[in-house]
Amino acid sequence: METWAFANQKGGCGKTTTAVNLAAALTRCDQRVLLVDLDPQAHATLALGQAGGAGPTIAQVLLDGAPLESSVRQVESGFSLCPASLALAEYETIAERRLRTERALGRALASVEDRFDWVLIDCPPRADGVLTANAVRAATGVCLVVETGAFALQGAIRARSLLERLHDGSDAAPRYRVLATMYDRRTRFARDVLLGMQARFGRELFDTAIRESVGLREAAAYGCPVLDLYPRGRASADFRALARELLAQPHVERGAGNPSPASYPTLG
Amino acid sequence: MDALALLCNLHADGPDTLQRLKDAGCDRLELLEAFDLPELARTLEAREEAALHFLKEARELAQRLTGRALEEGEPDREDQEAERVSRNQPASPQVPSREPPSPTPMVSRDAAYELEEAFDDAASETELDFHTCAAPGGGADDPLADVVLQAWRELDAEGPPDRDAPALDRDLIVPQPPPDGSAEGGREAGVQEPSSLVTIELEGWTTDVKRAFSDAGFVTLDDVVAADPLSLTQRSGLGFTRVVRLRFLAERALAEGVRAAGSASHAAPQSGRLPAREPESAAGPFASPAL
Repeated sequence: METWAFANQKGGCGKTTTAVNLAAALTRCDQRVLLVDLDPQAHATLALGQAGGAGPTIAQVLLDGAPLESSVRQVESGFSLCPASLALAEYETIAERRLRTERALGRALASVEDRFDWVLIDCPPRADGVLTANAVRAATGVCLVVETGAFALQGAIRARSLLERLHDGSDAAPRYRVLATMYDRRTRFARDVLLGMQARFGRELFDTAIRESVGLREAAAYGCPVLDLYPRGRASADFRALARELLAQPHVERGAGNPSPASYPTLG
Repeated sequence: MDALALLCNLHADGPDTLQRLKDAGCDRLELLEAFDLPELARTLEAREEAALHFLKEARELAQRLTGRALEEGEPDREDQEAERVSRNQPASPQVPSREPPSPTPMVSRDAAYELEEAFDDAASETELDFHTCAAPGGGADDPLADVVLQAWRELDAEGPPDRDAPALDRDLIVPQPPPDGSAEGGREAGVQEPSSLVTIELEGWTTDVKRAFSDAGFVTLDDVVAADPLSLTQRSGLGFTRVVRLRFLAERALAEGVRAAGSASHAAPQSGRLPAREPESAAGPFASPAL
């Protein structure tokens, strides 16, 4: 089971959009996918039209030790969702008074290791909190989601170093990749930012850059992935390409050694 | 992201272009030079001018990344190629004379979205002419941008509308519900009767929701779909985000031709009133299915 966390301390850079649509794209590649919404704002839950329902959420799993299976719901697009709720915000406060709170998610995910091929974790916009620490500790890969906008590169470099510090070294470190989002090829500025990202991150930067698309915003409002709404649009093409790129990576189990960035295959 | 992927993201269609190049055996930036121009244009599914521009950008990118030119010893190749392309090109085409235009056809939401994307790509700063709206692996014979531009020219030729004249019976681009996988979008021909709110069963459409819409004067799914979300919100008292999703689900249901659930066995109440409030099930509308 591969576990990927989508993180960045900057809000609005596309973490939730990436996690939701990549889950749909991997499902269409015949993968069993679980999407974990770890953001107290519950945007991934909202984006799939699952807000307001009864039943346990990831908050009960982390706060009360409820089994993860009890919170898993099937969504229309064919993958599973572990929804979030506002109660999750309490975890940051309670975590100060408990031991080893940063490992709670990893322990919970171990119980479903045989049910899923991929676990995608939508992290809150906070690189140094205990929720993001849970995600990084549980992950075999961390994807730093960076919008190709102003201050993006500087913020990405800082976020990357913060994420690396979350690892205490007791487990094998996850792979770090970077994904460019909201890329608008029409503007010279966006192309320059992409060039800067490639120069800074090299092979860690995914070949696929997620392009700016109105369809992505509409799909979130309608509560479904863009692959359901506009399957032939460029946003859907980008996420299918990203899914292929992820599937082409060497598979890594938790605790095993990680391949170096130089060995990351490119598309094709 | 290697140099070839970067080039495709900067100056082409991103992953689709990269995939086409790799399928043609080009998995490194340097290998682009092995293509002759017509072959590269075919691979990129673009015109030769666009392919030449792409090649030029590739050389500049290689120079920028490695500090040296892609190839040495043939400094005039780019000029030779440009001259050959200009010699082979016909004179600048005039706006072609066409048959009297037929009315602009109704466009499904999916096609309208593709038109929008095609226009965005046509407005790019570069002069590339990639068929970016084509499905992967395929290519359109006529760029959708041309369809949009032609429609605009026809409207411009008609001049401004006369205020006093009756409303023209003009086909407009009207958003249609997303297609259900069939080639045609929009409502199926068989759906004739509006679907009453009373008997429909859709995700999220609880009794309270139906009552709120009915009390606000929206008694059928068609009424809900025809209204704009802001009006629905203001009149029903439901949240805007919720209304947007409910309306989308209603639109999709109409497109799929959903009939009133059990309409044969559950006759609508004669008074047309909703049944008394029913307690929601303990599990709620989003109860987890049995695992």
